[in-house]
Amino acid sequence: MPDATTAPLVESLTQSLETMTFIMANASQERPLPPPALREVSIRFRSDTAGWIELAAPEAFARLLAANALGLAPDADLEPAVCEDALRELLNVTCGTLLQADGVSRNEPIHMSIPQVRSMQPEEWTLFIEDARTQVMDAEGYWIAIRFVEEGPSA
Amino acid sequence: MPCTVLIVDDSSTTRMMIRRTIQVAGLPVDRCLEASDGQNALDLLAAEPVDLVLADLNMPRMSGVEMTRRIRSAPANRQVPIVIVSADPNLSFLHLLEKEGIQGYVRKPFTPEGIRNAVARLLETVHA
Repeated sequence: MPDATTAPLVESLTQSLETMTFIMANASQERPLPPPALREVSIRFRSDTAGWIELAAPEAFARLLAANALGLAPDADLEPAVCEDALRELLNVTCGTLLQADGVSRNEPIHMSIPQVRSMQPEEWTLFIEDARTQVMDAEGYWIAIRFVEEGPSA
Repeated sequence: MPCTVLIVDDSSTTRMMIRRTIQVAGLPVDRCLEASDGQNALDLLAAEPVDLVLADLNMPRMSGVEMTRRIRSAPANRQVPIVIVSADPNLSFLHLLEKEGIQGYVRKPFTPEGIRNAVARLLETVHA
Protein backbone atom coordinates (compact mmCIF):
# COMPACT_ATOMS: atom_id res chain seq x y z
CA MET A 1 0.00 0.00 0.00
CA PRO A 2 1.64 3.29 -1.05
CA ASP A 3 2.11 5.83 1.73
CA ALA A 4 0.44 9.26 1.81
CA THR A 5 3.42 11.06 0.28
CA THR A 6 2.81 9.40 -3.09
CA ALA A 7 -0.28 11.58 -3.78
CA PRO A 8 1.66 14.68 -4.97
CA LEU A 9 3.89 12.42 -7.08
CA VAL A 10 0.89 10.76 -8.70
CA GLU A 11 -0.67 14.17 -9.35
CA SER A 12 2.53 15.45 -10.96
CA LEU A 13 2.81 12.37 -13.17
CA THR A 14 -0.83 12.44 -14.29
CA GLN A 15 -0.64 16.17 -15.03
CA SER A 16 2.55 15.72 -17.07
CA LEU A 17 1.12 12.73 -18.95
CA GLU A 18 -2.14 14.45 -19.80
CA THR A 19 -0.57 17.73 -20.89
CA MET A 20 2.25 16.18 -22.93
CA THR A 21 0.46 13.21 -24.45
CA PHE A 22 -3.27 13.15 -23.55
CA ILE A 23 -2.67 9.81 -21.81
CA MET A 24 -4.84 9.24 -18.75
CA ALA A 25 -3.46 7.30 -15.78
CA ASN A 26 -5.08 6.18 -12.55
CA ALA A 27 -3.57 4.95 -9.31
CA SER A 28 -4.29 1.30 -8.64
CA GLN A 29 -4.06 -1.03 -5.67
CA GLU A 30 -3.40 -3.97 -8.01
CA ARG A 31 -0.09 -5.80 -7.77
CA PRO A 32 0.28 -6.88 -11.41
CA LEU A 33 2.75 -9.43 -12.74
CA PRO A 34 5.79 -7.91 -14.46
CA PRO A 35 4.90 -6.48 -17.88
CA PRO A 36 7.16 -7.61 -20.76
CA ALA A 37 10.25 -5.65 -21.82
CA LEU A 38 10.44 -3.31 -18.85
CA ARG A 39 12.36 -0.06 -18.76
CA GLU A 40 13.28 1.96 -15.70
CA VAL A 41 13.99 5.67 -15.91
CA SER A 42 15.40 7.59 -12.96
CA ILE A 43 16.24 11.19 -12.15
CA ARG A 44 18.16 12.55 -9.17
CA PHE A 45 17.64 15.90 -7.50
CA ARG A 46 19.68 17.85 -4.99
CA SER A 47 18.89 20.91 -2.88
CA ASP A 48 18.68 21.21 0.93
CA THR A 49 17.76 17.55 0.64
CA ALA A 50 18.49 15.04 -2.09
CA GLY A 51 16.79 12.05 -3.61
CA TRP A 52 15.47 10.52 -6.78
CA ILE A 53 12.36 9.44 -8.66
CA GLU A 54 12.09 6.16 -10.53
CA LEU A 55 9.50 5.18 -13.12
CA ALA A 56 9.07 1.62 -14.40
CA ALA A 57 7.12 1.00 -17.58
CA PRO A 58 6.98 -1.52 -20.43
CA GLU A 59 8.45 -0.70 -23.84
CA ALA A 60 4.94 -0.73 -25.29
CA PHE A 61 3.95 2.14 -23.00
CA ALA A 62 7.06 4.10 -24.03
CA ARG A 63 6.02 3.64 -27.69
CA LEU A 64 2.52 4.95 -26.96
CA LEU A 65 4.03 7.86 -25.03
CA ALA A 66 6.35 8.83 -27.88
CA ALA A 67 3.68 8.39 -30.56
CA ASN A 68 1.20 10.59 -28.69
CA ALA A 69 3.80 13.26 -27.92
CA LEU A 70 4.78 13.41 -31.57
CA GLY A 71 1.23 13.31 -32.89
CA LEU A 72 1.71 9.93 -34.61
CA ALA A 73 -0.52 6.86 -34.78
CA PRO A 74 -0.19 4.57 -31.72
CA ASP A 75 1.26 1.80 -33.92
CA ALA A 76 3.82 4.07 -35.59
CA ASP A 77 7.20 2.45 -36.18
CA LEU A 78 9.49 4.27 -33.75
CA GLU A 79 13.13 3.68 -32.92
CA PRO A 80 13.78 2.48 -29.32
CA ALA A 81 15.87 5.60 -28.73
CA VAL A 82 12.88 7.82 -29.53
CA CYS A 83 10.70 5.89 -27.07
CA GLU A 84 13.35 6.08 -24.35
CA ASP A 85 13.73 9.82 -24.92
CA ALA A 86 10.00 10.24 -24.36
CA LEU A 87 10.25 8.31 -21.08
CA ARG A 88 13.19 10.46 -19.95
CA GLU A 89 11.35 13.67 -20.76
CA LEU A 90 8.20 12.51 -18.97
CA LEU A 91 10.18 11.92 -15.78
CA ASN A 92 12.10 15.18 -16.16
CA VAL A 93 8.84 17.11 -16.39
CA THR A 94 7.22 15.11 -13.58
CA CYS A 95 10.17 15.79 -11.27
CA GLY A 96 10.15 19.52 -12.01
CA THR A 97 6.41 19.71 -11.50
CA LEU A 98 6.59 17.86 -8.20
CA LEU A 99 9.46 19.88 -6.74
CA GLN A 100 7.94 23.17 -7.86
CA ALA A 101 4.52 22.33 -6.41
CA ASP A 102 5.52 20.68 -3.15
CA GLY A 103 5.46 23.94 -1.21
CA VAL A 104 8.73 23.19 0.57
CA SER A 105 10.80 26.29 1.31
CA ARG A 106 14.37 25.60 0.26
CA ASN A 107 17.50 27.63 0.88
CA GLU A 108 19.42 26.06 -1.96
CA PRO A 109 18.43 25.95 -5.65
CA ILE A 110 17.23 22.58 -6.88
CA HIS A 111 19.53 20.76 -9.28
CA MET A 112 18.01 17.98 -11.37
CA SER A 113 20.11 15.38 -13.18
CA ILE A 114 19.69 14.26 -16.77
CA PRO A 115 17.32 11.24 -16.54
CA GLN A 116 18.82 7.80 -17.20
CA VAL A 117 17.08 4.75 -18.71
CA ARG A 118 17.95 1.06 -18.22
CA SER A 119 16.35 -2.33 -18.67
CA MET A 120 14.50 -3.67 -15.64
CA GLN A 121 14.32 -7.39 -14.88
CA PRO A 122 10.96 -8.97 -13.95
CA GLU A 123 12.13 -9.77 -10.41
CA GLU A 124 13.11 -6.11 -9.96
CA TRP A 125 9.55 -5.08 -10.87
CA THR A 126 8.18 -7.36 -8.15
CA LEU A 127 10.46 -5.84 -5.53
CA PHE A 128 9.77 -2.33 -6.84
CA ILE A 129 6.00 -2.51 -6.52
CA GLU A 130 6.24 -4.11 -3.05
CA ASP A 131 7.96 -0.97 -1.74
CA ALA A 132 5.60 1.21 0.32
CA ARG A 133 6.79 4.31 -1.57
CA THR A 134 5.81 2.89 -4.96
CA GLN A 135 2.50 3.68 -6.62
CA VAL A 136 1.24 1.33 -9.33
CA MET A 137 -0.81 3.01 -12.04
CA ASP A 138 -2.96 1.94 -14.95
CA ALA A 139 -2.09 4.12 -17.93
CA GLU A 140 -4.60 3.30 -20.64
CA GLY A 141 -4.17 -0.44 -20.12
CA TYR A 142 -0.44 -0.41 -19.40
CA TRP A 143 0.90 -1.07 -15.90
CA ILE A 144 3.46 1.49 -14.82
CA ALA A 145 4.89 2.23 -11.35
CA ILE A 146 6.56 5.28 -9.82
CA ARG A 147 8.51 5.90 -6.62
CA PHE A 148 9.88 9.01 -4.89
CA VAL A 149 12.85 8.50 -2.57
CA GLU A 150 14.24 11.27 -0.38
CA GLU A 151 17.65 10.67 1.15
CA GLY A 152 17.73 13.51 3.65
CA PRO A 153 20.16 16.47 3.77
CA SER A 154 22.37 16.60 0.71
CA ALA A 155 26.11 16.26 1.18
CA MET B 1 8.50 38.27 -43.23
CA PRO B 2 9.09 34.55 -42.53
CA CYS B 3 11.33 33.86 -39.55
CA THR B 4 13.79 31.23 -38.40
CA VAL B 5 13.43 29.71 -34.92
CA LEU B 6 16.12 27.74 -33.10
CA ILE B 7 14.84 25.03 -30.71
CA VAL B 8 17.41 23.90 -28.12
CA ASP B 9 16.61 20.88 -25.96
CA ASP B 10 18.38 17.61 -25.22
CA SER B 11 15.05 15.79 -25.61
CA SER B 12 14.26 15.02 -29.25
CA THR B 13 10.65 14.48 -28.14
CA THR B 14 10.38 18.04 -26.86
CA ARG B 15 12.10 19.50 -29.91
CA MET B 16 9.63 17.76 -32.19
CA MET B 17 6.65 18.77 -30.01
CA ILE B 18 7.69 22.42 -30.19
CA ARG B 19 8.40 22.20 -33.92
CA ARG B 20 4.99 20.67 -34.60
CA THR B 21 3.25 23.28 -32.42
CA ILE B 22 4.92 26.09 -34.35
CA GLN B 23 4.17 24.50 -37.72
CA VAL B 24 0.44 24.04 -37.08
CA ALA B 25 -0.04 27.38 -35.31
CA GLY B 26 0.05 29.47 -38.46
CA LEU B 27 2.94 31.57 -37.18
CA PRO B 28 5.23 33.40 -39.64
CA VAL B 29 8.00 30.82 -39.22
CA ASP B 30 9.45 29.15 -42.29
CA ARG B 31 12.38 27.33 -40.66
CA CYS B 32 12.88 25.52 -37.35
CA LEU B 33 16.50 24.63 -36.57
CA GLU B 34 17.25 22.17 -33.78
CA ALA B 35 20.14 21.82 -31.33
CA SER B 36 20.57 19.20 -28.62
CA ASP B 37 22.56 21.35 -26.18
CA GLY B 38 23.92 24.84 -25.66
CA GLN B 39 27.20 24.24 -27.47
CA ASN B 40 25.40 22.80 -30.48
CA ALA B 41 23.16 25.90 -30.48
CA LEU B 42 26.15 28.25 -30.42
CA ASP B 43 27.68 26.38 -33.37
CA LEU B 44 24.45 26.79 -35.35
CA LEU B 45 24.18 30.48 -34.44
CA ALA B 46 27.71 31.08 -35.62
CA ALA B 47 26.75 29.68 -39.02
CA GLU B 48 23.50 31.57 -39.60
CA PRO B 49 21.28 34.14 -37.90
CA VAL B 50 17.97 33.24 -36.27
CA ASP B 51 15.03 35.40 -35.19
CA LEU B 52 14.10 33.59 -31.96
CA VAL B 53 15.61 30.96 -29.64
CA LEU B 54 13.52 28.55 -27.57
CA ALA B 55 15.80 26.76 -25.09
CA ASP B 56 15.75 24.30 -22.22
CA LEU B 57 17.81 25.03 -19.09
CA ASN B 58 18.97 21.62 -17.93
CA MET B 59 21.08 20.15 -20.73
CA PRO B 60 24.34 18.19 -20.97
CA ARG B 61 27.57 19.92 -22.09
CA MET B 62 26.20 23.45 -21.72
CA SER B 63 23.16 24.69 -19.76
CA GLY B 64 20.59 27.12 -21.12
CA VAL B 65 21.86 29.87 -18.81
CA GLU B 66 25.47 29.54 -19.96
CA MET B 67 24.30 29.37 -23.57
CA THR B 68 22.33 32.62 -23.07
CA ARG B 69 25.38 34.38 -21.61
CA ARG B 70 27.48 33.35 -24.59
CA ILE B 71 24.81 34.32 -27.11
CA ARG B 72 24.59 37.75 -25.50
CA SER B 73 28.36 38.17 -25.58
CA ALA B 74 28.34 37.98 -29.39
CA PRO B 75 27.43 41.39 -30.85
CA ALA B 76 25.51 39.82 -33.74
CA ASN B 77 23.19 37.96 -31.39
CA ARG B 78 22.75 40.50 -28.60
CA GLN B 79 19.18 41.30 -29.63
CA VAL B 80 17.94 37.79 -30.45
CA PRO B 81 14.90 37.04 -28.23
CA ILE B 82 15.38 33.97 -26.03
CA VAL B 83 12.52 32.05 -24.39
CA ILE B 84 13.24 29.36 -21.83
CA VAL B 85 11.06 26.23 -22.07
CA SER B 86 11.89 24.19 -18.99
CA ALA B 87 10.70 21.99 -16.13
CA ASP B 88 13.13 23.75 -13.79
CA PRO B 89 11.42 24.03 -10.39
CA ASN B 90 13.34 27.10 -9.15
CA LEU B 91 10.71 29.83 -9.42
CA SER B 92 12.92 32.35 -7.62
CA PHE B 93 15.37 31.85 -10.46
CA LEU B 94 13.14 33.61 -12.97
CA HIS B 95 14.19 37.18 -12.21
CA LEU B 96 17.81 36.09 -12.53
CA LEU B 97 17.03 34.73 -15.97
CA GLU B 98 15.65 38.09 -17.00
CA LYS B 99 18.95 39.67 -15.96
CA GLU B 100 20.68 37.22 -18.28
CA GLY B 101 18.67 38.59 -21.17
CA ILE B 102 15.83 36.09 -21.36
CA GLN B 103 12.52 37.48 -22.63
CA GLY B 104 10.12 34.71 -21.73
CA TYR B 105 9.54 31.53 -19.79
CA VAL B 106 7.25 28.61 -20.66
CA ARG B 107 6.95 25.96 -18.00
CA LYS B 108 6.94 22.27 -18.92
CA PRO B 109 4.62 20.48 -19.33
CA PHE B 110 3.68 23.14 -21.89
CA THR B 111 0.46 23.49 -23.81
CA PRO B 112 0.45 24.35 -27.52
CA GLU B 113 -1.09 27.71 -26.53
CA GLY B 114 1.82 28.46 -24.20
CA ILE B 115 4.37 27.96 -26.98
CA ARG B 116 2.26 29.69 -29.61
CA ASN B 117 1.66 32.78 -27.44
CA ALA B 118 5.32 33.14 -26.47
CA VAL B 119 6.52 32.77 -30.04
CA ALA B 120 3.85 35.08 -31.48
CA ARG B 121 4.54 37.82 -28.91
CA LEU B 122 8.27 37.87 -29.54
CA LEU B 123 8.06 37.59 -33.32
CA GLU B 124 5.89 40.71 -33.23
CA THR B 125 8.79 42.55 -31.58
CA VAL B 126 11.16 41.19 -34.23
CA HIS B 127 8.96 42.65 -36.97
CA ALA B 128 8.22 45.91 -35.13
